[in-house]
Amino acid sequence: MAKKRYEEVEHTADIRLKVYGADEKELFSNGAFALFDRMVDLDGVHDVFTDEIEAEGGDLEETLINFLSELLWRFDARRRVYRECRIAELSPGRVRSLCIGEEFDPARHHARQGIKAVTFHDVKITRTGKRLSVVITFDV
Amino acid sequence: MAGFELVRLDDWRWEIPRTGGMRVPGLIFADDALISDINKDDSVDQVANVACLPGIIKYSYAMPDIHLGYGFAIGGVAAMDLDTGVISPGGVGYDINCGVRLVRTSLVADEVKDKIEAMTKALFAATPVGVGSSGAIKRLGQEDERRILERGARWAVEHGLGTEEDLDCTEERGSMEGADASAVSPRAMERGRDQAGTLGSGNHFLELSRVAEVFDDNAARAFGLFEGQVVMQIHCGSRGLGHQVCDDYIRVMLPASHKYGIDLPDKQLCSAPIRSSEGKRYFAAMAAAANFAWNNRQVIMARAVETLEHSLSISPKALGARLVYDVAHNIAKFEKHVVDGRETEILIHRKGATRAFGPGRPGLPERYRATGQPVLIPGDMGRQSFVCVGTQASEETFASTCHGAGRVLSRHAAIAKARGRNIIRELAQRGIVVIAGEKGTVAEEMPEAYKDVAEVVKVMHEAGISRKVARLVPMGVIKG
Repeated sequence: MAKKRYEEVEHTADIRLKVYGADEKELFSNGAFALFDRMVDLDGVHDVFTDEIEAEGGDLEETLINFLSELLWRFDARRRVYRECRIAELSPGRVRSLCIGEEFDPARHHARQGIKAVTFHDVKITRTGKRLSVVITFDV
Repeated sequence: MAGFELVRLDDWRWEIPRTGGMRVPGLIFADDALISDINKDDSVDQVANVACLPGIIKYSYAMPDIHLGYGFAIGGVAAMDLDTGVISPGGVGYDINCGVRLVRTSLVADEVKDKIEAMTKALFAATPVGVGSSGAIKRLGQEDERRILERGARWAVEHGLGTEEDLDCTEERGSMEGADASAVSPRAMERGRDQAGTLGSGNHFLELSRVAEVFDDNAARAFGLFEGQVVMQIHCGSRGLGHQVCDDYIRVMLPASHKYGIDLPDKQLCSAPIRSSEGKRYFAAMAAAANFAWNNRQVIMARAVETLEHSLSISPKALGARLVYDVAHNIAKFEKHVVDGRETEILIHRKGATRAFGPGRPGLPERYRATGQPVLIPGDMGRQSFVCVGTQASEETFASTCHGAGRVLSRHAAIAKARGRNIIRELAQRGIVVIAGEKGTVAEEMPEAYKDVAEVVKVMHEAGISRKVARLVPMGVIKG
């Protein structure tokens, strides 16, 4: 059985997701998956184009939040929905990713949940045994 | 969870005494039942944290619908001294000028009850809703968007979508002074362009309601409300543009807090002095986003009114749609209030709170001078909403009151509770038509997910801050 990529943590007003990864790259990739999986049913999203997306930050956590914020902006402003983001390069201050997806079409895609922002609330990457995890809070 | 001893002041007021870095005490409005809800999360700690901010005046206030936010709790009010105080994007929130407007009509609910379903369907077809909704205003260019940011609802009126009277009946006349489009990033502009005039998703809605009960005949008459009347509520905000403005300026304020030596108990309280360049620029961008939201509600209202005329095949005169009032729930404003016995200009953050000007207050349109400002408090889609009125006593909270019901169930818990049930059918059996862009939204937003707004409104009524005028019950609801 494939390992869980993320799960929901209880929060009354907003959405809090615990994202997992075997390493930092997978953690970033699963974070991107979690964001889009909450917003759109990804089963109906095809591989139409690949976008190269970069983000920077003062440390790994900030880079992660900035990366997810950039993806959210692409969805909201440019209607890009990504089924999968492969992390090509990652350092604490910078990420370069190749994201596969297509243009969001409300007539064909099944939207789930609007997300306003990816917040910095209590964001801390932690290691438990061999796995990394991070809890990310989304304002909805 | 909170580590604070609350001191009960009377039946409706609880004080968080000053400790540690708090510059002022906290003041929570709640009854016994609500205070035990409030104590279940960390929102009391958040009220205390806000009390630590430089320049805060009198109290860090919490309304009875308070719940956990980021940095500032939702349902918080913080007034700041202009010379020593700070402005914080977290004190406004991501959905800048999320707010509500109430439109009255000449329709009597009993006479149109067979048509509510058709009216609701027509409104749904005419209003772009849901995740990724766009295209309400065709061919909106960059220059138009800039004008919306600087002119607010006036832009819509200039484009035939509304009247001068609509502007009279909107907080700040739908156009906030100090708005500067150049303070809004190109990314925020791009995120908003297609979303002008759209309702969005989540807790935003458009609702046809019936005035079920009038508590205050005088005020109801002044507001043009009567029992059995059909009215319409529109609840939405500044969409992606406002979210991006908040996101952009949190990134500005994080280093700014450090630069100005502001000691933060929580990163999300990041802020800058009101008179600093960062503070001024955030205010200018926030005001622009607020204008974007007022224009949204104006456009949605104009389209909805036209849709109702067509749907019922009646003239504008027969429909008699007029704006009662439009209020902001998430905003920061410069206002004059009495501080230490002297009228003083202050900056007030209202995050999940409503302005509640009392009678005679400048800034109110002539028609409401004698009664006080209409205060609009929406509830959930199954129970009720309230129209209240601001009082002279509201000066206690710098003319601020509650804004809504507040969630009791997480979205996850609501969906679990709705499993195996058909919420739309349950509501239909109670005579409420609900149409949603996404079926998941209905489960997440089901009535049981919220507190009963009546409990919240009652506290502010009994505390004397905002008095009940009328109770509205839903008939037809559109959700994102």
